[in-house]
Amino acid sequence: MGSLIAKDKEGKLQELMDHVVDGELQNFKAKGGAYTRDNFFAQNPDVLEMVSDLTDEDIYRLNRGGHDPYKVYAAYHKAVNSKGAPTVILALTTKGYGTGSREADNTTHQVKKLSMDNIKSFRDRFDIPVSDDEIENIPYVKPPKDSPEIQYLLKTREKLGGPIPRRRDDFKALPEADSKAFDKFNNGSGDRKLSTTMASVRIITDLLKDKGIGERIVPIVPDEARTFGMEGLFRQIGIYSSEGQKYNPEDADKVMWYKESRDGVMLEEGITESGAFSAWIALATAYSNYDFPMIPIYLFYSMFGFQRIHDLAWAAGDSQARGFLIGATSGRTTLNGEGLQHQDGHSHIFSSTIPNCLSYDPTYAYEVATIFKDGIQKMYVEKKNCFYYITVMNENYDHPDKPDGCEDGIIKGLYKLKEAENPSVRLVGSGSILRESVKAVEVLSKYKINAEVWSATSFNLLRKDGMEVERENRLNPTKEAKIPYVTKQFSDSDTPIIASTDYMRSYAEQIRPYIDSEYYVLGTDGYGRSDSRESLRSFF
Amino acid sequence: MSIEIINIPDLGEVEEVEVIEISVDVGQEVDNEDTIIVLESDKAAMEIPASKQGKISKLLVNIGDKVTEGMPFLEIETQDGEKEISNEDKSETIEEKNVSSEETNDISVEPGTT
Repeated sequence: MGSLIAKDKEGKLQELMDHVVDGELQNFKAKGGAYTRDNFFAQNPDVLEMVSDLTDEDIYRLNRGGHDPYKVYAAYHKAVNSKGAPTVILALTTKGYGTGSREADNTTHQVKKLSMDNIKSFRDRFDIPVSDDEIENIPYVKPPKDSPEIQYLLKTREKLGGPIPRRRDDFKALPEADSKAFDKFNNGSGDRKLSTTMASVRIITDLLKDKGIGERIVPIVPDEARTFGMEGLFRQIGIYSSEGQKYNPEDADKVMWYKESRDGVMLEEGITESGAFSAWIALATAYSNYDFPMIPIYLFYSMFGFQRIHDLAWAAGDSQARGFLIGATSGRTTLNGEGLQHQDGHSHIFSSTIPNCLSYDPTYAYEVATIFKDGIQKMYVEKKNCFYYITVMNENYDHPDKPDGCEDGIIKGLYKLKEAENPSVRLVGSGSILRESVKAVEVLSKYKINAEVWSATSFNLLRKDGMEVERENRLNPTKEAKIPYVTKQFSDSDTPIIASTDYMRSYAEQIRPYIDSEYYVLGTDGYGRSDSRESLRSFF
Repeated sequence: MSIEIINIPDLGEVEEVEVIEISVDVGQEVDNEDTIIVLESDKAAMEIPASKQGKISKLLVNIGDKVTEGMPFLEIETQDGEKEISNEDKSETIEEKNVSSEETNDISVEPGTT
């Protein structure tokens, strides 16, 4: 092919090569030299002349750059030594190269067996030292240990850490976080109203100052920092920019100015959830890849979390990633004015599909704090293989004092929030709707109905526990049966239970096998509606 | 040694905000980037820095107070000759710290890049 290109003084052959499409290239190999002469070279009479001294067989054997080791080396060398811009190598190859009569067939991908003729022509073509006697067994060809090929292989493998790929799954545990960041939410907010989003950002801000783990924390946002009230962090920790800040920002004189720097900590990825989540994965697996655990915290619109990047989330779980995912503006009735595509009523269904994702839908600041604290403890101190998904909202309300002894229940997914005398119904709520359950108590009291209220911080975890207990009992029929956590909570009576969440009904329905009393579920199935929060909640 | 009074800086969008936390004690030595108080609007919590280096001599606000831009909130004892460090100067200082061998100004242009 080289001498042919050398003959192409006027670039006419180059022009034909630049315009040929993949499908035709495949045809040339599939249909042979004569077809190639008539359909490629013949497009231009001068080019046809250039191959007049070649036979059809010669034309068929004209090689493609992708199979020429010299050309591959040259291209790679050029690419590696190019500066200032990314480089791309387009390597033309032949499908099923070397398989004789099977070359360039569309079915090459599905070929399960090659005929002995094909195998022999492969052997002949590439000078593989296997005799006709031996070839029936298709033996391995093993060059001697001192051959340059094997020596190169072993040396390169050594540089990569040895012959067997391995995963570092242990690491030096991080110290426990200072309780200060969490304890401040033990006391209620008084007459101050704030959202769980603000509470989360507060916790993150405090953790960044933690002497033990502060430098491991990395907040990641896909351009939504101001929506979540995180702009104070721009000045405090800086936005990472590999080239520093190349301009004077408009708000340079404000206390929350847009500061970028090379040692910025926050990752501002632009409106790309796949980019932001990829950055999260890199940090979330740093404990393994670099023996240096990092604590990435990715905040996003919950609707644009798993729904948008579930493929990556699944891979993250599979890679044993650890870190926090915060789904903000969550729940079907939270973002009433912004269009139905924001109304998330199913992110917790998605999260439940990932075996090592622990997902929570808290309502109060002390619940958020408890879960965060537990997350750092479990992932980085106890080194459990899991990552956390916590949904938060942007509704401002007052948060009560943390009740004594509720921490275990918050982590397991359920605890009693409000007692009642002789309750005729148990109201279970989560996220934005728990407060509606609390309001319902007063409404029901007008009808002389006493209602208890429970906070369900995670229906997903209640189900996981139920399934594990079920399985253990099934496999140990002679032992005393264990009782699922959620069943135990309600075991004192068969008072009917009504669960309400801002998610589709299947979210709360999933614990039905572990509930002995009457159980009713309210949820937000459907695409949502454009209306005020009040109307939406009344509708559902 | 002089006592300087620090006022609430330009908070941007918000007008009146509540003091929710006081992060230092009287007598504490602080740097210009250290947080003195935390304010909360209905969107976000804002940490207000000392903007000077020195020793806290008096805190002029309490938790629960509502403050606006320009209100004095801190008395700080500084060494004579300390300049107020504005944000613009700050970014310059930070770029200097970060960028060891390259040009240092607010608008940093690396030689040789496309």
